[in-house]
Amino acid sequence: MQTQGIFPERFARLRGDARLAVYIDLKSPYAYLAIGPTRDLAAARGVEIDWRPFTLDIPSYLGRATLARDGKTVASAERTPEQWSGVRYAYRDARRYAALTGKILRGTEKIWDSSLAGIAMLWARERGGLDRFLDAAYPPFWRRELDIEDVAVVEQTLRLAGLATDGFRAWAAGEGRRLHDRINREAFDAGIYGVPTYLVEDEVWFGREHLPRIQWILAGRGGAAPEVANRGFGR
Amino acid sequence: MSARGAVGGRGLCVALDLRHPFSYLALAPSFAFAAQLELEVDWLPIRAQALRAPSAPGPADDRGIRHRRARAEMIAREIAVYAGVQGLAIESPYRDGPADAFHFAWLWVREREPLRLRALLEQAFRRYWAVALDPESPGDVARLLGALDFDLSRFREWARADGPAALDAARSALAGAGVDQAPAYVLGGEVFYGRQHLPMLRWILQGRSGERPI
Repeated sequence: MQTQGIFPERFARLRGDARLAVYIDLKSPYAYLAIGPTRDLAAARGVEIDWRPFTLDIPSYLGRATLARDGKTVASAERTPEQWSGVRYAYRDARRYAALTGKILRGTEKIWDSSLAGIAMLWARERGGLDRFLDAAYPPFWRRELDIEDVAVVEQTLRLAGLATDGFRAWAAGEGRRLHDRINREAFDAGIYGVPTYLVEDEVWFGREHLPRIQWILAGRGGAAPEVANRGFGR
Repeated sequence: MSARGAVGGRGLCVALDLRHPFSYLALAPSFAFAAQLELEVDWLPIRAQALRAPSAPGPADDRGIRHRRARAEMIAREIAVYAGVQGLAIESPYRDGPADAFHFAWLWVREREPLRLRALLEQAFRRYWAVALDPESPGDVARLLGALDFDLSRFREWARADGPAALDAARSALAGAGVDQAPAYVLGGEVFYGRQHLPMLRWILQGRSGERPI
């Protein structure tokens, strides 16, 4: 089918030279679930993934909530019943898929400011260690073992990924922060609002259920276009 | 089959909203899925959260408003692309309102002639998305049933006597299972929103074996 006119040109401009750009945020369970199958797909097609940080501003669209110290009861909340229903379903849904690959997804205690982790992604990317950083950060964060707002903890995670951290703090407070904010502003201004979001050719897709289409595009759009499906790519 | 038994039982229940494009996109894949696995599925009507049109940009838009607009635009693109993939025409996707008249017909056929429910749903969805069926119009619903050679006098009698109770039962069964969106798949008390879960449902129904969903 023709998709001309459906996708504004700004998404192709935002993608730039990357064949496949993917926006993720450490505090998104759906981004966590998407990393493995996205890597599988890219490896099968011989495509390099341009992972980019997109720090979600959750209160702006899902309200606020904080858990009490017991980690179960809600200490404070500014959410509508519709927002609560959506959040609870999302966690249940993410958990049942996480369980299939042995991932642990504990309910988050608060809405984290994950921008420092996003800046660390950029630091790791510039040093060729982004995949190692993602693998070092996602599992412990979702086991509630990482305070990603603590720069010392983020540095330790970078070191666990085999990356030097000399100068990270100053970079994170200055140039790295500005780079992170620019990437986020440009993405949001273009119409990206959630993660994982995929940019491929002139198209933009939100959610790993579109990986079959992304694979079809990367393979040259041969044959019938596929349907949405949470299905894997060779593992 | 009672609605409560179907939703809470061991079989698969599929809840669709005639007025939501995602339900139309799920219709053919869901019937194909049921046929491939030789499943007896209970199909129930639901009025879910309506699809929201993207708002017009304004000078005072905050981040939340811009987020919701971007999301609505993304969903509109998704509907356009996958409707094209399936060869479906979707006109005026943001129409809203009740659909009780059609839901009576749905529940009547489900109860009296379940083997013909697929034909009714396919025809109803096609007409609605061609803006040729008002699901709240008794006349439109009668024409729909007539075109499929259903006995209108029996339907009208049932709709008067048993329809409201059947509709209430279907609604309360879905609400009791926590279903408020469509398409929804309920299996073993677990709710899945969206046709992207069909690989997961297949995997569960085949004894959690075969290709694992992601």
